[in-house]
Amino acid sequence: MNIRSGYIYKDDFLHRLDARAKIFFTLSSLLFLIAESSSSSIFAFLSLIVILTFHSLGMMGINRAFAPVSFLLLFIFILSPFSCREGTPLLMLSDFVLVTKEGLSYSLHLALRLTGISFLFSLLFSTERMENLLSALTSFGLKYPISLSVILSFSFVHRLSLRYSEIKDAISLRKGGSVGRKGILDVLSALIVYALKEVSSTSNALVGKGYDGKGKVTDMHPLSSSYSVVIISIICILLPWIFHLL
Amino acid sequence: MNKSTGRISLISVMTALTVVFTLIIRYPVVATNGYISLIDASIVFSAIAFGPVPGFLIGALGSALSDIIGGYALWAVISFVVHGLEGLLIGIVARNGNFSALKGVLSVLVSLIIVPLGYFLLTGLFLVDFKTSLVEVPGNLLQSGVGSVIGVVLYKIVLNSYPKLKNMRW
Repeated sequence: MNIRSGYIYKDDFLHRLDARAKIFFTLSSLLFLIAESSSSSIFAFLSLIVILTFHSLGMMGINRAFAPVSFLLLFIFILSPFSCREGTPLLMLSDFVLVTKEGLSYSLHLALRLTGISFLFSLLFSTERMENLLSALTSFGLKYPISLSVILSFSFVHRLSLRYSEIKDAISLRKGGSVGRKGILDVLSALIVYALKEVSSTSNALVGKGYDGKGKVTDMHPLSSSYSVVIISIICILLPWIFHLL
Repeated sequence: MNKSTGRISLISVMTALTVVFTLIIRYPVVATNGYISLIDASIVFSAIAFGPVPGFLIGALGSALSDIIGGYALWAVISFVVHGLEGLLIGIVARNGNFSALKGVLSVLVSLIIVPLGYFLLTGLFLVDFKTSLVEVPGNLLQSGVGSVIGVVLYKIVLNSYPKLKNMRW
């Protein structure tokens, strides 16, 4: 099973930055990328994000952010001739206008926005542990049971994927080496039954740990509160909008 | 079983199952650089088995976590909305009485409409333009169609082998 874990362990400025400040930066940057009309401002901001990604995560971080959007970017430029028909023609085939200056700049704008959003999310999830992100969201008012459910889900993903491999191996042995298309339904239904049986044991374990739906008894770490976090968060919110002034 | 912890456990386990369904079987779609997974199978199963609210939570959280873990975080918010809505509506369609063939067909239809339309509209509105987001529609149609049929079939199989499933509805 190919699960590409989100978090990459490093010890640098971005990794040490408070999770709440990173969330503020991501949301503010997202708004900037959607609202900003100047491609050059977006390009300048994207350059900063790419430099931060490379500095913090190296080429692996760049690849991880770029891979999910690479083909979509290609489609944006392939469809470019049909996106905007009006304007200054740049490329013509006899009388038919293939690419206009406005169409090309529109496609470039979309491509920069999409790449920027991809890099933003990749940077957030590569430099911050999910537990800290959930603690940050809880401090913003996310319901505690939802945070707890997400944290528990993460621990179950690994367990269920291991169980899937075991069930698949067992069924393929029984069927003589290969599961086949019909056998995959047996594997999936067996996995579901296993998961359903886990529900009651997990519920009992939660009660045993003192969680009854009212109290908050888990090992979720509260994030530290200090003036520096507030100041850094304000800087993070304002940072993308400085590029609007460029 | 404690009601509150039971619900948290159910959401956690089924959300994880949705992530596993998404990541274990992925057929790449060369045309869109995306992939076809069985995410809809897990969401349709959960919505039919447990109802609209768990269907929404499992669909929304499971799909968003799958995108984050799988390296497609860009689509996490859109998946949260689209698959959450898919789980909610299928849960509403299948909520009362015994599960029938008609409810199964309706569940598949809801999935076939909500997933491609939702991705088309939200991707076109917030990420790219509508012409580019049209590229994703055939892949999403195939994924939601195949996934939802498998989800309905899995529900029937699991109900036969694990009858307690009927008592797990919210």
